[in-house]
Amino acid sequence: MRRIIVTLLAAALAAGGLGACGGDGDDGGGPGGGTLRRVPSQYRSIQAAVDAARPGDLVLVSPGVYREAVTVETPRIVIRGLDRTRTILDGEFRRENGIRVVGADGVAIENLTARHYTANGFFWTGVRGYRGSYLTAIRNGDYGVYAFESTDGLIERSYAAGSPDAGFYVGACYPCRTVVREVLSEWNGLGYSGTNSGGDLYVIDSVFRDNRVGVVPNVGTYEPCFPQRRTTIAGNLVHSNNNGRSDAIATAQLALGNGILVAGGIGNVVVRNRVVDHDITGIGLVPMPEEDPRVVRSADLGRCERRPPAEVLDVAEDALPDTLLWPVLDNEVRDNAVSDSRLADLALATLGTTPTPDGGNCFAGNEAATTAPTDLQTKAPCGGRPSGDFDAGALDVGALIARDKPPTVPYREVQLPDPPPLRNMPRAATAPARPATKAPRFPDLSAIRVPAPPPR
Amino acid sequence: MSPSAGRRASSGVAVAVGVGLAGALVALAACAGGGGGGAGRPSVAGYRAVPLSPGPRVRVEAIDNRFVPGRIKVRAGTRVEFRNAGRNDHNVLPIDGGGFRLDVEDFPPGAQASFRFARDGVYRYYCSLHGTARRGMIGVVIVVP
Ligand SMILES: [Cu+2]
Repeated sequence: MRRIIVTLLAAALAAGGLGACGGDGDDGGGPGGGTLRRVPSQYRSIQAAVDAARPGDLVLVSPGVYREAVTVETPRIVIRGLDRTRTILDGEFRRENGIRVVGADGVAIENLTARHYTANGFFWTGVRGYRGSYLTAIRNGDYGVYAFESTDGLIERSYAAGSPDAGFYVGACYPCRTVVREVLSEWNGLGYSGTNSGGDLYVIDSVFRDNRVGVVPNVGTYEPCFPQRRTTIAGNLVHSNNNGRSDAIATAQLALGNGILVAGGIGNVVVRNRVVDHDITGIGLVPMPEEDPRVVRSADLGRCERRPPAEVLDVAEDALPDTLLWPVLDNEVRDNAVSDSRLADLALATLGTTPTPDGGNCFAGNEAATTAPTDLQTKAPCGGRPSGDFDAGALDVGALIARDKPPTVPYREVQLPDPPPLRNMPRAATAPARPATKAPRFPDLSAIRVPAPPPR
Repeated sequence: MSPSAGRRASSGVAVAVGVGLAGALVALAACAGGGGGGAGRPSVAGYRAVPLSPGPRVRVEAIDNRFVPGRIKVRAGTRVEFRNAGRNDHNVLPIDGGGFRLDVEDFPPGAQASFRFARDGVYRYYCSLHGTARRGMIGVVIVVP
């Protein structure tokens, strides 16, 4: 029955143009239940259509270059381009965010390009329920696709290139209840970054290549919801993240040449990824050095936060350490295929920040030719006790940090490759509006396979 | 993230505005102040639960992407110091004219700027990168006599 209604509504939308489909726009529930608002034929700008929209409405944008920065404060609307690569929001290097959703739950953005913004291409903050599908973010000054203090999200089938921070970012949420899947991230500082995020957070079935560093869960006092915990990274192809010709924030510059780098994270699961061709490590677990941490006052601790390390909690300003080392703990690295890493396919360095040398981290079933320390899968097995000499063949983290790093290239000037062919959203002209009112379906990890190697 | 534009780097944008802006402040404090407030403007009385931060100088940090603490209550005459303790750019813009102003163009990581709140009132502000005048990265200084 529901399907029939959806089909009828879709037909009505397609035929009617201004499809006031009789639904109750304000409850915003049903697919296609709202008003269709066309840009530019009915509204001269996307912002004008968004401002007129009510929950459940669909803002449908024709191909063209839209020189505007859109802010959305109305919940449960859908903003969709008719053609992904030809419907372009352009920041002209002077506007901050392409589309920014502030505190409005359930907003979905589909089938659009955002380029040349000084901050972010697509940005959700403080929302419950969001979705980005078939998005393209190119050459934006902070992040490509950026979800902050937001939960119940889905980011899928999207592309990000040319940002100094992360192409895709999910941060400051716990539990996040969010899925990032089937995205392609290249030529960014970081392919994926998630600061202080986790808890039913899945980064799966995606490609991270030619960034400075690939996939980086990380932690710091400078964002809410520390520490970083419980992200699942599965079924991704992560390769050739050694790209010194991109722009990069400091962390990306420091971590150049690593595929999947868990930096100061806790309880993450890294499973069945293929990780190929990295100058430093394929999959590395390391403490996160936070320079210039701030004093965290227990009175300010939020609901999603756990106590931070004692070095910063309620201490006097002048007692702060110059650098805070967040330990890397209890992460599980299983069944990945890792190859062609110049220093180590698998690496673990706890640097004395954990009670035991393994820090509760474990490795099992991975294809890997080299590890640091040596025999890592024997020394830190999953389900067994750690044993052996963790100093033998250990990474010299100090030397890695001290290595010369290629300078950053300003994001406006990076010589980006043309994006590969990018799929359009099917039936963009007629598909009913589907606001992001429910948490995404979480993946069945047992169904996720190691992806094929990259083409040579 | 940005390379340590550190708190200890005194070259920051430390700005003491106070005196120069006194005129503007007095003009604007009329509408911001006094507990009554105009239409839609919050009154000091509405913030009874916020604890008073003692001392002549109180700090608010802009982290990514939040002001911490987001609400402070101070006595008139207190200097409030805003510091960007995040890794991204932020700004501090008064809402509704606001009655105060930080005299800095940019507010990059490590930067600080301060303002002395001479008159009682409710001073709301936001960061235009990560919030709007209604929600997101938003904060308030409640000044009591
Ligand atoms: Cu901000």
